[in-house]
Amino acid sequence: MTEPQDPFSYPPIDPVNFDLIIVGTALSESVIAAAASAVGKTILHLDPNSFYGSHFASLSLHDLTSYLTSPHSLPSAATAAASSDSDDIVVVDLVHQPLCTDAETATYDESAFLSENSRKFNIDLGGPRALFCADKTIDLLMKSGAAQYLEFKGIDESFVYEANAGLANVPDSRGAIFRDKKLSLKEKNQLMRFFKLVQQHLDDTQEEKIPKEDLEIPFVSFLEKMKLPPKIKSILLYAIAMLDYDQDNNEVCEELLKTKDGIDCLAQYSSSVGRFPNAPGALLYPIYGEGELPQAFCRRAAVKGCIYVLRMPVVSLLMDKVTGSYKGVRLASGQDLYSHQLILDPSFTIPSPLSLSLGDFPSERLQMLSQRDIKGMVARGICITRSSIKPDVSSCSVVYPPRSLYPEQVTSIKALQIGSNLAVCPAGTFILYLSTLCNDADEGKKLLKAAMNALLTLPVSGNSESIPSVQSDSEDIKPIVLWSAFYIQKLIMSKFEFISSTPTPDGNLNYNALLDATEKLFNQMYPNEEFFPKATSPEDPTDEDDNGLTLDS
Amino acid sequence: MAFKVDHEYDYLFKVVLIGDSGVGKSNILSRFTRNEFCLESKSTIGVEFATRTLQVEGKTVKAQIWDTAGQERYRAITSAYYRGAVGALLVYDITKRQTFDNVQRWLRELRDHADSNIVIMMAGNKSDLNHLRAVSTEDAQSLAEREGLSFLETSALEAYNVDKAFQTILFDIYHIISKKALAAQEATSSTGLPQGTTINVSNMAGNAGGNRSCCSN
Repeated sequence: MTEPQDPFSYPPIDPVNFDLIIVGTALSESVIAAAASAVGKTILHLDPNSFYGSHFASLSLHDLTSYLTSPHSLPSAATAAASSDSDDIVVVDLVHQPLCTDAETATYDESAFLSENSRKFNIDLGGPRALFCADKTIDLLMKSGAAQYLEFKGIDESFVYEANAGLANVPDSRGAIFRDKKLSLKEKNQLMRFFKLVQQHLDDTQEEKIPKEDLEIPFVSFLEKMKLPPKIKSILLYAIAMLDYDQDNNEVCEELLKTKDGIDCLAQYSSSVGRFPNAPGALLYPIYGEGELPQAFCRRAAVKGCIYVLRMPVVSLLMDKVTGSYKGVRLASGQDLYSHQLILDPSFTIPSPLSLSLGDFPSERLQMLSQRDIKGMVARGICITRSSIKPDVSSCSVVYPPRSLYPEQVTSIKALQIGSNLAVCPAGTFILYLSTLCNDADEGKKLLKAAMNALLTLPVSGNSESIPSVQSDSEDIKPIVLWSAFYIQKLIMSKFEFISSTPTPDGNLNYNALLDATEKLFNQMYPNEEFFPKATSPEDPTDEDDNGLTLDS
Repeated sequence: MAFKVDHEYDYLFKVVLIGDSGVGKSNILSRFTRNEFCLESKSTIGVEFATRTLQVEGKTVKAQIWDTAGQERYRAITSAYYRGAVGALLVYDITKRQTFDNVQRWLRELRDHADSNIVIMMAGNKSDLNHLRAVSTEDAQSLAEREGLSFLETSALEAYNVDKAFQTILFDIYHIISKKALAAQEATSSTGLPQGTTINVSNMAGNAGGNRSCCSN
């Protein structure tokens, strides 16, 4: 091995030919790296960042602020005269368009404390995010072998926000319904009866089923048919089925959820409660943050031979001059590498072919690559607080149903509070994540700030050391916000072409839709290969017990 | 961090191997856990971690030693690799000065990602190639003293000092854990919030194995 002159430079990447090159280490890219490595593909997996995860990463407070507020452009490739002399290759430069835009951050209090403890934070870029215990993600983690790198804890409680009443428990089991103090006896009976009906419908040994015509009507109509009161309807639709749009507003809700799909949501939720003995509710969260998930899959890929490079931007595509097909990529270091297939992080794109002077180059293929299929936006918020939104609760999820904050609120807002026992923040602090779907940045941020103000309070300027007075309309003291961030992420779908791209983080709490898109992309790329075949499940690591050896003390 | 329920040990210590590509980390691991050496120098593929159980002051300690899966070659070790590690063996090659010069960068990586109490030993490997030596023992000893590291020169080929390196790390870890255990008992009673129990989704048996001392920082 040649000794590099610069201690921070890398040796040239060897080999230079791969089955697949992947740019970006977000969850989808990492899952595909692990799945393709498991079936023997040779893969190079790169990321321009110094960390894994891309827009699914968990970052220190300092790194998060940098990431949100100073997006980088791609550097020019280092001079590589030898490779650029090739006559059969056209070089097409890539453009980096950050997924997180309209970012604003604010420090309200204790800036010295936050600065000193920056590394104790592992803040999710794609939050709020959690896994259901019966989630597709859990099954994938076990099937792929990535589960051995992760540990989880249960989310303690689930709440729904009620206008003028604050947080109410989500009664997600018979025991929870029984214990609930806010539901009336009549409401409890109605909910018990409804859950029993759903349970019978799902039980194959039972003959009594929900009629087929009822399964096709909107779920909201079915709930009305069952004569469930608005409060319970709201809990079922938004806190358990986790719907985004107001099901009572035909103008905003493009596609109402059907009853059969609503039943499926309830089924996943109810099968999640109690699946793991140590999980108090339906949700799990990985210790150290959601950024651990892509790293687990990347480790899995590396063990199977995938080559990993961080801090290495890909700056150009190499295209065949005659056929216009993809050949390879050029790195920022100037090195050219070749592969049969390429996956690009959705933040990479190319300029419109019309703006390139490509001569006779067939540019129709590039036309497709320069178009991005944007489906909307997710507004995200992050708040660091000094106390929990609910006394004696470390982690909890909250849903604000449509119209619970103000009459024009047409979308649900999801929130998740994580405490320091999950190793995402220093002791004595909490992170509250918020998100909602939106069509423009101002609308989204307005929604999130309304949600933040409903639960938290800002320090009184000039009086930050005083204990805040008890709110007259609530028995709970509102936590104080030390720091906050709000930003917008574009929603981009995955795309399969000769150069593929993966989906961005969506607005869901779990990863099911994202992993469905990822598996579909894998099957399109490798139609004859199985997605994580069973043979690759992890063998027991070698375990040489040698009890005879004694340390000298 | 416990991935499997095991009734045969008192403590499980996670130890990570770090250092530049090609210095011999994988052979140090295979020598210590399986007493094997491989001359072929392909980048690490297929090795997750390996374990070996030893006695430390009357306690049965299971050492779970993690290898890099080759991710260090282009500086791509995950931060997850360091989670819960109580010890680290930082390896350089005595015949390649650059691998010793990069020790400082590895120490920075440990400071960024590992627990601040992690026990670190620096190992100058390939001591059997003394005729090609590029790093003097004195230089390495000075760096170790400045940085507060333990230091040994090893040879995975000749099995020289490999066991001793791990025994020293485990011994130091055990003593730190013992002191921490006393402090932890005091701290536990003062913690108001419920801590929640860790869930390993691979371990469907849940609590069937009972409680073991799993030393994860």
